[in-house]
Parts: sequence; structure tokens; C-alpha cells
Amino acid sequence: MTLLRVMLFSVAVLLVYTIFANILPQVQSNPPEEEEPVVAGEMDQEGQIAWGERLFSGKGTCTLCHNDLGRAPDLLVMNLEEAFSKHLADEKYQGEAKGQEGAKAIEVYLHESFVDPSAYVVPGFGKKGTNDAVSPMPDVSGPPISLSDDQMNALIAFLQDKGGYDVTVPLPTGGAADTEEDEEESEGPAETAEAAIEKFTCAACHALGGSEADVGPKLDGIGKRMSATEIEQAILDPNAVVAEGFEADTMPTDYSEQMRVLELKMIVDYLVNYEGEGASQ
Amino acid sequence: MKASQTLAFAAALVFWGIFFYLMNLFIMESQGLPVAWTLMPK
Amino acid sequence: MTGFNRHYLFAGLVASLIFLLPELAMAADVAGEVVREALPAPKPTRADYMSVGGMSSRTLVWGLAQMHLFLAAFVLAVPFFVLCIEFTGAVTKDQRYDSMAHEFMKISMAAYSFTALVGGGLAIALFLLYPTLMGYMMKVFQGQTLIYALLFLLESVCLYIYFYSWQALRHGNRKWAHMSIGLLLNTVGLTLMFVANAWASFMMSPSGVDVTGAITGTVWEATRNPLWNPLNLHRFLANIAYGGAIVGAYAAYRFLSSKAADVRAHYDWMGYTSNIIAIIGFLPLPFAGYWLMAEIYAYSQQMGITAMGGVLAWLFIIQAVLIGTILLAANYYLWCGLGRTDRGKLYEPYVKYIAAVMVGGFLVWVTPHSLILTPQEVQMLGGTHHKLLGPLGIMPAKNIAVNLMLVFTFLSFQMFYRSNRIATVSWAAQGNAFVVALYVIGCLNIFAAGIYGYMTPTVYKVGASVPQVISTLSIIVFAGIIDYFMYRGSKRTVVNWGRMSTRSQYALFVLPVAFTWLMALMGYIRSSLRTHWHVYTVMKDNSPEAYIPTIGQAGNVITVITLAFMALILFIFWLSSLGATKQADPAGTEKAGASS
Repeated sequence: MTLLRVMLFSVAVLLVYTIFANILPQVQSNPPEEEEPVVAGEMDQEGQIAWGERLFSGKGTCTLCHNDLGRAPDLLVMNLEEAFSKHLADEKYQGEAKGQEGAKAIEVYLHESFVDPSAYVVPGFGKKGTNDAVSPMPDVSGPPISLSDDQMNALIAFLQDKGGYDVTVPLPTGGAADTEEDEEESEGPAETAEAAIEKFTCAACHALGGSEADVGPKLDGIGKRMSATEIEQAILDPNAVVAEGFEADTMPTDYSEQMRVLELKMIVDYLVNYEGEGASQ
Repeated sequence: MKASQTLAFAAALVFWGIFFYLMNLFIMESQGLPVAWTLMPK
Repeated sequence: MTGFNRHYLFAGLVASLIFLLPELAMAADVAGEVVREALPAPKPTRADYMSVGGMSSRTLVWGLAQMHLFLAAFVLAVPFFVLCIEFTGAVTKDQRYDSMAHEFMKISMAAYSFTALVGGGLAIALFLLYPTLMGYMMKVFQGQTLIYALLFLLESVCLYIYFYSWQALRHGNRKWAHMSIGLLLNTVGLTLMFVANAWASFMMSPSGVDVTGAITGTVWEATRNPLWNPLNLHRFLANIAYGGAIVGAYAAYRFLSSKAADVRAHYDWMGYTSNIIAIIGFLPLPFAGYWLMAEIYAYSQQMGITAMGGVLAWLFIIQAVLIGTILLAANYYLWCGLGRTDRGKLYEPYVKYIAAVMVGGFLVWVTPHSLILTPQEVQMLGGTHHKLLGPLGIMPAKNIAVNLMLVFTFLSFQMFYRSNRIATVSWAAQGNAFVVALYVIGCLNIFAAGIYGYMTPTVYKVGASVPQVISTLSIIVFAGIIDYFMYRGSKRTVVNWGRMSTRSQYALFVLPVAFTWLMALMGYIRSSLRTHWHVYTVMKDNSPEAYIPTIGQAGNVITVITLAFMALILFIFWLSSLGATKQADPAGTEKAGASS
């Protein structure tokens, strides 16, 4: 009986905490959204400034510190022109923008603040005990914030515009934004036919290079059965002609988008002469 | 309370007051936060 | 040398050797280092994450990890305070301490195997569901994982010898040998925790690797990352408080279900001791937690602000509720305890003032201020701060509240301590005046340092919290020392162990429930600080569950795990009483002297 009472009491206490946790404001924090890819020529200056403003409270996480609670200068409400001029004129300022003037100097100063915040620390905002020599701000181009050059430029554009300066940063240069795919694309084209075959994982389905895959037809001596043009079509438009005994919609149909012209040429040349394993190439 | 007790209490208040004041001073300075003798930031 | 001095020397030698053990364990990895490839940390894609039977991988690992931590905290804490109590018994030559220490060990024995079992389950789940991450962690920590396994073996050996040799090594020199084994057990256990802590803290503040995650340092460098020691200290203290709370529940239950007066007296005393252990472990915890937070801020401002000012800020309000409950329950138990002595009535008038401070402090602490949020989050939360209550929500006020609550908890304890002692020293009246003045000036200082925070820039505001903490510590330490000397040779009055209300025992049940839930909540916060990273800034989390769940979701998961743990602890305690149960021989059919 005691046991039952004790258990019920404990469960009741637990319920109080559970209910309390459920009635508080519920916020789910998601990983930062991948930025919409910026294609060259599609973004104008207005768009860039707007992008910068989104980044300020989004991926840049600037509002975490730059607000009215005193941890960092409240950039959104203060007089930026006054502040920037004051900082650049400060004799303690020894950074890259020293001696420069105008909107370009502001761009240099802001960029420096992003990647080397301790170059100049606004008085009163330094890390405790360092006498304003070390800034608590991280390098935003590195993890965990990892802003790309385009993103940093957008933020500079936003701040320049806010301070009443001309925007001096270039518009985004295009290409995919800071996503994981970046690394693969910046690898460049495959250098040899074998590398290209590996890159596009042909051996996953066709018996090439020692793989015994039989999802797709054997390609031994394919050069005798099909011309180079036909092989090319088989790669770029696999469902046009399907080999006997195999089904349509099995081979990927997007090689025409993925492959570079050079890579396609190398693969076709290789296959035209492909005798199968064991035969000399 | 006896007179001696009141005296002891008063003396103790003074003693602890000085102790805590010096402690405050020392702690703020050792954190690299310069303070005046009023303990307000310099 | 006299026998006594010999024992101290022996203990000292053993202790020095034992404190070297962790260093040796860590340093062992440094020697014989193979040059490791400088490859960056892997970048797993969605496809690299396993999922089993449609179950949420993250929730499964979370549940196993938290259960393991509950059990591990318990089995690390018990040998620690058991050894302390055993030591007290050996020094005071009071048999009751030794019996109690033995009893604490006995009731927790089954917990050790469950800790290892759940730990094994956790390891399997981690390798199954997060193979890429575990592959990377193995590359970083290499042989340390094998040392970890060896330490488990060593711990089992020490544990079983320590427990089973209790009566064999009972008196004289043998008792000191027994305690040395206990010391070894504690050291091994502590080392185990330090090793596991290194892995957890590495994931939060990696060191020994470069920005891409490529290994550039030794295992020791990866171990000794910025958050390792703050985590070590915090967990060490929290374990003690936690362990005390759990055995306190056991004592309370046995008290309530016993009828015989001497049995009730025994369990009442056990409950009191457990509560004291919980309070002793609990009092320095806020400071250890503060240090941990400070180191988090020092390592990464962003991580610190995410915790206290960003998305996770509300969690600290829940934490405040839980800690408030714990302090109120512990204090309530102490106030009820005043009823055990006749002199206790003298202190009862003060209880309402202490209660007022506790409740008032709790309310202040619970008050949120504005939350540093992105505009989207402000919209979602529906606003920032309350005009009137706002000022109460920032750190200076909260620091005043928590420090005063700790001071007054100690006061409750001090009152109980005095309730069965009549001072016989000549300077008792002056000594008392000295202590009262200490409390007055100390509390005023805590207040003043808090108000100071409203009038000074941020760095000074934060800096002012240190004098507050030191004030609290000073009050506790000096009042304790003065009382110790003032009540030396005091006349002892009767303590009527067993003279406690049923209500008071329920306070002892609140403690472990709140503690368990609080521990799980803190684990949720610690994991969430990493946001969408497996290893912060070095290895991104690309699993489908890379988001921080809402507090409600977390609360539900935490409650389920807590319930499972409570059921398991019930089972563990039941096992120990089962072991002591003997079935009566029904018809005397077994002849006396027959082999058994």
C-alpha cells in the first residue's frame, strides 16, 4: 500500500514537470536552411541588400549578440555612419582600412571585422580582462557560421546601405551557394576514362573493371556491336534503345546534365575499344 | 542581550564588513576589472 | 610510529598512488603514438545514417545514454559516500556508521551490472545508428577506448572485493586495508567517468584537431579539451547529490513501511544522512555549473548565448523550477527534523523566515527576462520581456536569489546541527554574535553585489557575480568552522530518531524524482548546445534528426526515461531485500545438521 502511494506520488510530481514543459513556448531549432542557389546575373543590388538583411538574423546569427543587451554594438538601431567614422578615426585603429576614406574603406573595415574581429575592438566590448584587445566575436567565415564570400558581401552591402554609404561590393558571382555539393563540383573534370567511369559509377551496374555487376548489359566488345554515336546515345538517352533482356527506366537518365563533354568523349572512346577484362586495351 | 553581547555584535559587524569589502576589492581587481575605492568602475 | 600514524601514512601513500592512476591512464596513450593520417572529419550524407524498424535513432540513443548516465551517476556516487561514512565509523569507532555504509553498498550492488548492460546497449546503438561519427571518434581516441574497457574490468574486481570482504576485513589494520580497496574503487570509477567525459566534451569543444577535423594532436590533447574539467567537476559533485537523493528515497520507503520503533529509528537516521549527503553535494553545484557555463562562453560566445539567451533559454527556467523544488524539499525535511529534538522548538520560529526567503528566491529565479532571439523566433514566442518583471529576470537578481537560497539552506542545516547540542564553551554568546554578524554582512554583500550589477556595464555585472559566490561560500565555511569550535565538548541532548511525520518522508521522495528529471534536462541542454553538429564546428550532423526538439517533446522523452529508471531502481532495491528474505521451514521436515 505504501509502495503504491509512493509510486503515485512520484508519478504525480513527474507529471507536473512534464506538463510545465509542454505549456511553455515551444520552439524547434532546425539546422540552418541551405541558402537558395545564387545564379550569376539573377541578383541585383537591391536583392543583394535584402539577402544581407536576411543573413543578419538568419545564417549569420548576428542578432545573437548585436542587439540591445549590451554584448555587442547594436548595429540595427545605432547611427552606423557616426560609429564607423569614429572607429576609423580612432588612433587605436591599425587595421587594413587605416588611412582610407569613403564607402570602400567601410567595406574593408567590415570585411576585416568579419574575418579578424580582434583587429579592432570597439571600446567596452572586448573580452573580460583583455582590456579591449581581444574580441569575443568569432571569425564568421569559419565554422560554425561558415559564411561564404558572397554571403559576407551581401552583409556588407546591407550594412553599407543602412549606414547611408554607396554599396561597393560586387554582386554575387554565381555558382551554387555554400552547400555540400560545392566540394564535388569544384573537383573538376575526370582526367582519364577510368576516372570518369569511376566518377559516374558505371561499374555499379555494368561489368567493368572487374566488377561483376549484371544490372546492365555486359560491355565486352561493345565497340563491335554499336557505333560511337550509338554508344553516346545509350549514355545520354538510355531509354531510346533498350538492350534485349533488360528493362527501360533502369539506367540513370541525367548523365546529359552531369557529364562534361570531355568526360563523355573519353568514356565513349574507351568503350569503343573495350574488349572486356583480360584483353589488352 | 547583555551589553557585552551587543558590543561583540557591533565589533563583529565591523570585522565582517571590512572582510567582505576587501574581498570584493580583491576579486574585482583579480578579474581585470579596475575599480575605485567605492568599488564602482574606474 | 603509533598504529594510528601508520594508518595515515599508508592511506596517504595509497592515495598518492591512486591519484597518479588517471594520469598514467591518460599518458599511456601518448607513449607509442602511431602517426595518424591527417584526414578531415567525414561528411556523412543522409544515406550514411542507419535507421532500425522505423524507430527514431536519436531518441533511442538518447534513452540509452540517459539511462546509462543515471545508473553510472548512482554507482559512482555510492562508493564515494560509503567510503566517507566508513571512514567516519573507523575514526569515531561508532559501529552504526559502519553498518550504514555496508547497507548502502548492499542495496546498490545490482545497479553495477545494469550500468554496464545499458552501457553496452548504448555502444551497440551508437555503432549501429551512427557509424560514421563513431568511426571518427575511434580515430581520435584510439587506444583510450580499450583502456576504458580494461577499467571496467578493474572496477568490477575492486567492487566485488570491497563488498564481499566487508566482514572479513572488519577491524584494526584490516579495516584500513578495506578502506584502501574502497579508495581504489573510487579512483577507478572516477577515471572511468573522466574518460567518458572526455568524449562528450570533445564533441562540444574539440581540441587536438584542426578546423576540418583532421587530427593534429595526441589523444591526451583531444582528452584535455576546454570543457573537460568543468564537466568533470560538475558531474562529480552532481553524482554525490544524486546518489544521496536516491538512497534517501530507499530509507524513506523503509521508514514508512516499518512498524518496529528501532527499525524506524534506523531508517530515519539513514534518511537524514542521505539528505545531508544530497545537500553537501548540492551546495557547491551552482558554482561548478557556473564555471561550466563560463568556460562554454569562453570557448564559444555563440554556444554560450544559444544556451542562456537563445533558443534554449526557457530550459533554464525549468531548471530553476526543479532546483527550487529540490531546495524546498531538502529544507522542508530539515525543518521537520527539528521535531526530533526538544530543543528544536527553539528554532522553529525562524523557519517561516527561511521559508519566505526560499519561496521568494524561487519566484525571482523562475522569472524570465527577454530572450535574445532572431526576429522569427520573437514572432514564434510572442514577445520579449515583461515591463515590470523584466528587471527580475536578469542575472544580478537571479544570482541574489540563488545565493540567498543556498545560504538559508545551510542555515536550516546549522539549526538542526545545533538542536541537540548545548554549547559549553565560555565564549558561546560572543561566538554566536560573530556568526549572526557573518550572516548579516554576507547577505547584505550578496544583495549589494547584485544591485551593483544594475548600475554597471556588462563586464562588471558578470564580474560581480564572483563576490556573490564567494560570499555564500564564506558564510558556509566560516559559520561551519565557528560552530565546530563553539560546540566542541557540548552537552548532547536526546535525538529521537524515528519521530518524524509521514509528510516529511515524501520530501525525500521528491528529491530523487526532481533530481533525475533535472539531470535528463541538463543532458538535453548539453547535447543541444552542439546544435546541428556531431562534433561542434568540425563534423556536421546530416541525419534527419539534426534539429533540436521542442521542450515539450524533450520533456515527454525525459519523463519516459525517468519512469523507466524509477522502475529499475525499485527493482534493484527489491533485489537487495529479496536477498535477505528467508522462507520459514514449513513443517520442520529438514533435519537440523543436514547439508545445505
